[in-house]
Amino acid sequence: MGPISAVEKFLGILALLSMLVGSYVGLVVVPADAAQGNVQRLMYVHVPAAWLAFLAFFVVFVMSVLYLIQRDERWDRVAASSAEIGVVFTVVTLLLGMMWGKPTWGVFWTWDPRLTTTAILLAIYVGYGALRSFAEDGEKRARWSAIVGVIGFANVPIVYMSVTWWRTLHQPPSSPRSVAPDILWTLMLNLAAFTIVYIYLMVRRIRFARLEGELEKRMAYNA
Amino acid sequence: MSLLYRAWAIVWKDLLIEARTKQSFNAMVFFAALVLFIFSFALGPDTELLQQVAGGLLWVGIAFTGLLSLSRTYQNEETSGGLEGLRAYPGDPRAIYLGKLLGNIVLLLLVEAVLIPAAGILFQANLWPHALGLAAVSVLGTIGFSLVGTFYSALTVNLRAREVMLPLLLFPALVPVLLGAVNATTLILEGDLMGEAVVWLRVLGAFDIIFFVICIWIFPIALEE
Amino acid sequence: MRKWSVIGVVYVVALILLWVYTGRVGMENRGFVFAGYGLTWGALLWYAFRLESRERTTARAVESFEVAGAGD
Repeated sequence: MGPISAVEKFLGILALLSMLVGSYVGLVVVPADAAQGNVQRLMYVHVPAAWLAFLAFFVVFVMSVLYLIQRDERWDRVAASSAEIGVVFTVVTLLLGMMWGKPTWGVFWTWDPRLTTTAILLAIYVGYGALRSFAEDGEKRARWSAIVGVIGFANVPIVYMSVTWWRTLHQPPSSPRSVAPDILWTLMLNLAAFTIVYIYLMVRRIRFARLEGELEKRMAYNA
Repeated sequence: MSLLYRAWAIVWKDLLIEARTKQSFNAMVFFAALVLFIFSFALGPDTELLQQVAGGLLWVGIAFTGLLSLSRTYQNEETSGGLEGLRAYPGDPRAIYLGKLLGNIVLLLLVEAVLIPAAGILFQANLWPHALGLAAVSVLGTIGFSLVGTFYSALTVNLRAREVMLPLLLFPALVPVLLGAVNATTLILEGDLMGEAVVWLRVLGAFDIIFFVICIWIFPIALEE
Repeated sequence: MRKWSVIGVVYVVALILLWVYTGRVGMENRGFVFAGYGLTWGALLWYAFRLESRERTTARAVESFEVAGAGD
């Protein structure tokens, strides 16, 4: 597999630097929100983490479909990598949601549709990971997790709609505030940073998946 | 239509075995009653509270009971030679899914026919005026539960630690069904003055249709050797 | 491995700086903002570190098989 390439190293440094700039702008440069105060700064990490979590799981879905059609183990490796990284982003999203929720709503958890759907998403992909760890045969593991990856993701819009109905049938929908340009571009900046982090982690994780596959082959051969 | 014929053959066989041995039905009814009892004890004697949460308790009971029967979906085949026999079954494997699905639905509905009146007695709720609505929720919810359950049951049957994997995979997927069933039941029991229960019945219906299509489409891949 | 020790130290220093900064500007709810950003960075750095460790371990295992299984 060879040593880490220069491109990978560059990506890693880029990820680190962009995250630093993003956090610095979010914490120091951009002014505090007029209504929510400084707690609103958490949005600059919470929202990108959430978006990347969903992107990661969408990638799992696409790769799962591709695997079921083509049965190429490369798709399976990308799917597994994206699922693992997606779980990390999802946990971060939920924790940040709690950090934001406690000072603004007064509680660590509410049954807000997006938070609830995110928690269920976490459960689905933890199940995905557990399934992979219990399946020993490489082909079966790839096939079964691809199925779970497809069904799990297909369920997400339905879950989201159900939870939204559940929470809003007796509550008026909240009116969206228009977003100040300062907030918007800080958000975009951090979103870009998080995306680079995702790409970098994916590159490294897929490399690791290839190594694991190689190890499995050699162990089977020598068994 | 030979697909339906073969599916029917599977349903008939399983239900016949069940009718003769009553192994699943008795265990499920007993377990469901136990669950309801324990909930009642845990929540205390306050009748009003129990009536408020009756919908939720009922469906938690149904979910756990259904889980019990799901893990045995393929047990008849397992004990007599494994899924190999099932895979060797000629023709479209989807017939197997359909057959097992129908079997699970029928069994669970039969258990609910006992359970729901029992819940009515335990929680002191008068169910008769709402019988039609409750029946609708019951059918749609049970179909949704069985659709995903029968599918994941096939997926996990060969897995180590499948007693853990089945609920772990199943329950996140069942969230829309549980939400729909619990909310519809609660609204119906309260009289549903604003006709909101219909929204939830539609959610259940949409879920059922979507997942019927997905599961029956993917099932052959799940059953592959 | 030394790289990660350095990163760890830098991370802790940055946390301290952040805490001091939020105190200096009199940020309200500084605990939550601090915890949020600290957790985010911590989680991502920790995951990257674990990824590299796993990679190293597996690469070594693959090599050991290469040597052992050669000439089969």
